[in-house]
Amino acid sequence: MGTWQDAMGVKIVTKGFGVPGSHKLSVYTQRGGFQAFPKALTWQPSALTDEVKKSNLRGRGGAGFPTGMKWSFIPKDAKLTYLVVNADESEPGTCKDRELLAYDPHLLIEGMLIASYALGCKHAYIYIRGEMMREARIVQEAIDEAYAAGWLGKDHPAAGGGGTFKLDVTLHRGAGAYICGEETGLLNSLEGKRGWPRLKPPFPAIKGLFGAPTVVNNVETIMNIPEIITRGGEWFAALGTGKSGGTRIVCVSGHVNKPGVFELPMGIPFRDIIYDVCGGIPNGRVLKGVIPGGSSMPPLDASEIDVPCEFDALMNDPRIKDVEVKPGVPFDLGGGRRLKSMAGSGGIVVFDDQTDIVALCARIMAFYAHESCGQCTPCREGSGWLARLCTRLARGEGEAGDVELLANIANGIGGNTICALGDAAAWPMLGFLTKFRADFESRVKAAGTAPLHKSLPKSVEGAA
Amino acid sequence: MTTTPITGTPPSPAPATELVTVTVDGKTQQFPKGTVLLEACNQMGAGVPFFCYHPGLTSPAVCRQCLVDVKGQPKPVPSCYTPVADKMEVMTKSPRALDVRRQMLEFTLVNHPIDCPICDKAGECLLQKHYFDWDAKLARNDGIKVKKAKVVDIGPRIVLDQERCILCTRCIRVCDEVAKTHQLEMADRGDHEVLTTAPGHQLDNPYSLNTVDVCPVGALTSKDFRFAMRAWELYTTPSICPGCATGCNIEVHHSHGKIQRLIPRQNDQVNEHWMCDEGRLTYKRVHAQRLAAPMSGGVPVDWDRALDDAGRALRVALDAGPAQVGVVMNAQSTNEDLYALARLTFDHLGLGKVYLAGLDQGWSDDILVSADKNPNTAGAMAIGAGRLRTLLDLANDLKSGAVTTLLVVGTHGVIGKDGAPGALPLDRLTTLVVVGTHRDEVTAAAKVALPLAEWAESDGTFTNRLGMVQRVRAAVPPAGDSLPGWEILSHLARKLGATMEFTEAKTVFAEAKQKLPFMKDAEWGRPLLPVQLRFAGSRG
Ligand SMILES: Cc1cc2nc3c(=O)[nH]c(=O)nc-3n(C[C@H](O)[C@H](O)[C@H](O)COP(=O)(O)O)c2cc1C
Ligand code: SF4
Ligand code: SF4
Ligand code: SF4
Ligand code: FES
Repeated sequence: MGTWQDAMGVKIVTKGFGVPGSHKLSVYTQRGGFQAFPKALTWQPSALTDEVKKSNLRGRGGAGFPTGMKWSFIPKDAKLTYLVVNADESEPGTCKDRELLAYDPHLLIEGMLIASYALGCKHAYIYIRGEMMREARIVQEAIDEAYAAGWLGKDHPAAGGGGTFKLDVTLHRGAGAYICGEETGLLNSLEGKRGWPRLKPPFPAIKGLFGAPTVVNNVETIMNIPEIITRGGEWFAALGTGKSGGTRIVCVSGHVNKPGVFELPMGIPFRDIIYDVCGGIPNGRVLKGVIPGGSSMPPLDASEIDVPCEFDALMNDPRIKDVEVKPGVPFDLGGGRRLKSMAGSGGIVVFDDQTDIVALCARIMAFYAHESCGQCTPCREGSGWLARLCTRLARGEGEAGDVELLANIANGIGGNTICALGDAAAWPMLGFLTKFRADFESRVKAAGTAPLHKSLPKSVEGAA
Repeated sequence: MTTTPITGTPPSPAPATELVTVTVDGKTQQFPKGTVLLEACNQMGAGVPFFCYHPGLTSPAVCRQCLVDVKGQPKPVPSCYTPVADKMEVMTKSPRALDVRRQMLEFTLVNHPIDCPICDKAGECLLQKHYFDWDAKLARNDGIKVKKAKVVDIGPRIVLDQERCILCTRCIRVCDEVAKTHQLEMADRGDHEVLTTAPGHQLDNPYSLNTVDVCPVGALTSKDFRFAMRAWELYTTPSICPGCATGCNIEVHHSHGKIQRLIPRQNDQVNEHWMCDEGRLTYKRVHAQRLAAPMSGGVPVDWDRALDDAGRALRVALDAGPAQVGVVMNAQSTNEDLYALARLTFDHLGLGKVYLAGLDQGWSDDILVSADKNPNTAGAMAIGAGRLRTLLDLANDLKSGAVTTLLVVGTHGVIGKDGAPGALPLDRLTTLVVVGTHRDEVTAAAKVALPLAEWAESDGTFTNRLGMVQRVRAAVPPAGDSLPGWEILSHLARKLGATMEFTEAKTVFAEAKQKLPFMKDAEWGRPLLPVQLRFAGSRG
């Protein structure tokens, strides 16, 4: 096994970037497109799932769940299954799916064809974020082209499956809610209901869209499938590191000289991303920290950037400090598991030493408070409370005890909600407090102006 | 007609197929497989608090108030969404469970207005209860709260306070799952989320007031009850709704001799946890237009005088020709009143012209509401045993002069108004004696009118459409001088030279139970004193 440097320059999903007319079917086929799908049709569907397992492809939507394993959860005897492509991309700092959709929609369609054949799905959906109007038009044109060319909506002889295979694809535009990117919120929205996440179990693989077994995969995840079939799961796995196969797309924003969307080797250290790929920090300033995978992931401070940008490293690397509830007390992910950070959606936000950390954090909290679907109490009430407290600290109007209260609220949300949006608010809050506590403490109002409840007479406190 | 004996207590659950052993806070007990963990914990006395869970509805597990620690689970689990499993070990009071529940409660309170002093739910509010049981700390939120609408008129019978709403979705589920109509929905997101109706729609389904019962807080209030009474000033008496033949089990909530509201009482074989809005408002007739004193010749008299006059009038008629004396029974009466009347009519006086009155048929559905708007048609039919005629027969008999003297016991559905549809030509009668609850044209036309206690003022039983004999209990004292039917009929029997020695409703019941096959398995139940309400309304 080589090092991450070996994979430098390898392009799987961004091959079309910069190619004139790359979103057109003709250009896509010229570039070698629609060869993996006919090949896949000669395979047993279950062999495809095995190949994806072998590839170590992990979900690019946020959780990094092994894709082959997810596919294998679909009951073997299921008569009706669905594939849903999650193109709702709304995590702050993340803008890769949008580019992928705009440059290479046919790669997505080919990936969907292969995945659907593997899963026994006859009708697949793309759920696209409402605000992506340009991309929705491009994707719809691509779908229309694929129908006209007979890739979609037409029977294909499937030697491996012992019959024929036909797929229909529907593009559905969301109405612009972050929570509709959460896979079960997405399914409810797709069914025409309020985009409230569902209780799990049952998981979508057992009871998903319209009650049928369903796989929800991210755009980038599915776009990797054709190359895995063309070049083999082992090739793909070898390209990556450890249990993470392939390349990784990151979207770098913030205080760097060259922000952008890059397809990079899996496992490239953050230091290389910031200083080499993105040309370092502008204006001669120094790095303060970096959000490694979308704003819901705890930040790294400047001392932690030598860790690889890879799923397992971000969760386990001993160089990353544990996120704490208060100094010395680690946050419990459940069963004593510690939280460091996660690779999330690939949204990397770099911030320099001039950054107002409290204001940054307040902005992040405002986002989650605004996007909380409101269904479950801790996230609904807690996210708003965090946002209000952070905002008042950012204004320098913090009361004594606010810093402790912030951590306590976040700790009460984390792990106690229906979906991971609660964690998405709690984790960065705790992460920022762990890594940049002094920034918060400096915003507490000067002593002598105690908060209201502390100044209540003792008798009231005793009676309550 | 089946004769299932039901006396108003919830039936015990069906014998379980498989039992699993669960340990809760160190105590071990067996439960049927699939039992909701929250139920198991609370049956064992753990008192795990909850808001969104309701035993009659699906569990969305949104409030997170019921979190408990389960051995082997990395995080506390929502017990309302967790089925019991064999050898499950549950800690409802581990430091972590207590802590996390206290924090969930705090979240629920962060934006709650806490206007308990002016809130109708105070005293029976789950939020208040859980706060006093489990938290009772001062608020840590010293900042502003999210403001929402306080008085939203969402339907003909209900007002919504969006600020008090804790967004538990119980009311939405009542509409969806019980009334089978999606009239309520959430709008907006995060802590700005509000309960609302769809534009142009309102909460007006026939079961809408159940949303008020299930609302754990004071967000939904009944227009009929709001601002009427503090919950803790109410007393409760279990009874049966008189609204139709379904016989929903209810609690009568009353104070100072006045009924303030009816709410459903769980009976899984009849009404589960619910009742219809119409039935709920039937209590109104108990306190309106009542015949308070005996009347003779149009003037109030005392009972002795009235009974003398009634007895004499009937005696004269009976002596002149018993064939021309008719009797009207009412399907609104209890089995006991009907039995006493049947004894007098058939056994002692040997009369043949007996008619059954009752309220007209109305609308029905396949949820709860019966078309038969009388609570005891089944009992009346069984007691009449094929001897009852219809009011149409009576109209003909009056017109033809076949009946010239009439004793009416219960005037519900007996119409005497000139020209009204179904009106009886009462003016053809020589003698009309009425035992009635209300001041209406029938009691007004009577030579003697004797005031009759309403269902909520009498002890007895109703037989519902399934043949279940269910216990009705006197909740409030009879209006004015009115008396229960069996008692009036006992006095009247004596005046007519017959002996019917009934001293209390229970003795009538006991005799009827012996004589009537449909009542053979019925039970009278224990005597109950009205109980003062304690955190009862939201069925917590
Ligand atoms: C609040 C929230 C928002 C999410 N938004 C997205 C999204 O916009 N796009 C996406 O692909 N996954 C999103 N996810 C992750 C999905 O739930 C799901 O895990 C993913 O689509 C699965 O695809 P993958 O296995 O290919 O990663 C979100 C998750 C949460 C909790
Ligand atoms: S955690 Fe937040 S977003 Fe997820 S279901 Fe609960 S309220 Fe909705
Ligand atoms: S709903 Fe309960 S806690 Fe809220 S104001 Fe009313 S009584 Fe008080
Ligand atoms: S109105 Fe009441 S029952 Fe309905 S969601 Fe709000 S708190 Fe729950
Ligand atoms: S009662 Fe269990 S989550 Fe609400």
